Amino acid sequence: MTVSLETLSTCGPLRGLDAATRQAMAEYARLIEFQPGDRLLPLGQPPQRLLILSDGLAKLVGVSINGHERILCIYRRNDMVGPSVLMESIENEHEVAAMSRGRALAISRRDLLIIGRSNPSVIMALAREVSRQLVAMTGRVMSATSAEVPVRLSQLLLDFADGNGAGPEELVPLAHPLTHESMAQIIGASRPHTSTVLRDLEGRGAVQRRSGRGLLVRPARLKTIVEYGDLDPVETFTGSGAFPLSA
Amino acid sequence: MIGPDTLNGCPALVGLSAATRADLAAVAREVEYVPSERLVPLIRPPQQLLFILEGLAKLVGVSVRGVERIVYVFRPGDVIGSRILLEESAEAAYEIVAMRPVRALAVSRHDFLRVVEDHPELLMAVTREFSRRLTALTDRMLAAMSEDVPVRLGQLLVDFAAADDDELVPLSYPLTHEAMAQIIGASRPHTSTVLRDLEEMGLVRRRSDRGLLVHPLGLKSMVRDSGEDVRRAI
Repeated sequence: MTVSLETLSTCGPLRGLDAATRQAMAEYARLIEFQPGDRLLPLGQPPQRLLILSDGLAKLVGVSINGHERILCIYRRNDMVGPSVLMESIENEHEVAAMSRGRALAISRRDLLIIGRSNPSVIMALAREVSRQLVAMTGRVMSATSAEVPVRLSQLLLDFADGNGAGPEELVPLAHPLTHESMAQIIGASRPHTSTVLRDLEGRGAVQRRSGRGLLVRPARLKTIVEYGDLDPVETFTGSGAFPLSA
Repeated sequence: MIGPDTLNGCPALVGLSAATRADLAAVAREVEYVPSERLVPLIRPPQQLLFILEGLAKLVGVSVRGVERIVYVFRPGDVIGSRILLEESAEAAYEIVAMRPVRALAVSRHDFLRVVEDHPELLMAVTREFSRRLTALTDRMLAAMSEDVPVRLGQLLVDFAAADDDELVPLSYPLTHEAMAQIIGASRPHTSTVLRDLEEMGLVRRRSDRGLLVHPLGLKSMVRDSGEDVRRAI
């Protein structure tokens, strides 16, 4: 499916491109659709194409030496998937798979290089995205090597909270639903442990579980846990007073 | 200003055209840092790119419990300062500190952006280098989330081994027990205990006139077999 200039103008990472570069992108890029489970970038070889998600969710997955699947990154709308597309040789031990239905703008490595030679602003957009993902991955490694599971889970829920327009103490839904299994794979914990920690977070007023209707989260309380750590024993949340861990 | 030949110390820049190398050399300067000196300070975004020629530097963060963790170790060939490309660079709770004397080429943000306007291949080369680091960090993320301390330490020692041999070899750069612990996310005493266990298995020798010696092929086998043992148990 070809890509219209209008679609390109709403594509976050490409918004700053000049008209000529956008025109070149429109000639080479394609709009693709994907279903849950589709492999967007396969294992074993450098990415042969760059994708920019316009809808849906995708996950970067690795399998640990213990045979556990771990989600290393979740891509959402406007994220670039496959930013190492410029690399000619790389042992790619991770794959990107769709978590939901969605659409993405796709451009092959070859075409990207052709456009990039005469329109370097495309390469600058890619470089900025690599830099942004480096910052994000640095934070995740720091968290994985030092934070306890409740802090890692709180950070994840905070990242996914759909808090647009809500007050800081309001309960809000997640922008994208996550199963306990997915949460466990993202934070590097077992599923039963993740469920236990969710129950503890509910006791602290940071989340509210609703059977069959998804999770609600309270961003202000999750932020406090992330900033101050899970340092004290669990105390039951009793109202709208100060969060027990922030003292 | 430096001579274009100095750029040969940076693998990322080796394939560039003579014109690009000349323009980059005209704006680059050589800088040196002593151990513990900050290459990129806490909070403030970097103002220059640093192409590491010699030495080691660590990207360090401090956890909410006050524990220092080394997220990444920069070695010769690495490029520091990816955040200069961001139009709005958020404050970061990380700093980059020299672990050993560092010699690097420094190019200011302003000069870098000016040179890449005329030579997009330089931007491509630097982006490839940042992509390589992103891949390495992603691998590290997987290891940090999934594996036991002996496996994480084994992988670190393989990564730092001076050669890929079937015999004991030194590390390409010496690492203290403290630094190893901070990199793999374990306590220093636990790291020392695991090193002792690895020595009993013949995979390392802790004391020699060349410092810590490691057996790369043996360590690789240990890392691989640990995974298979666990998979069998599952």
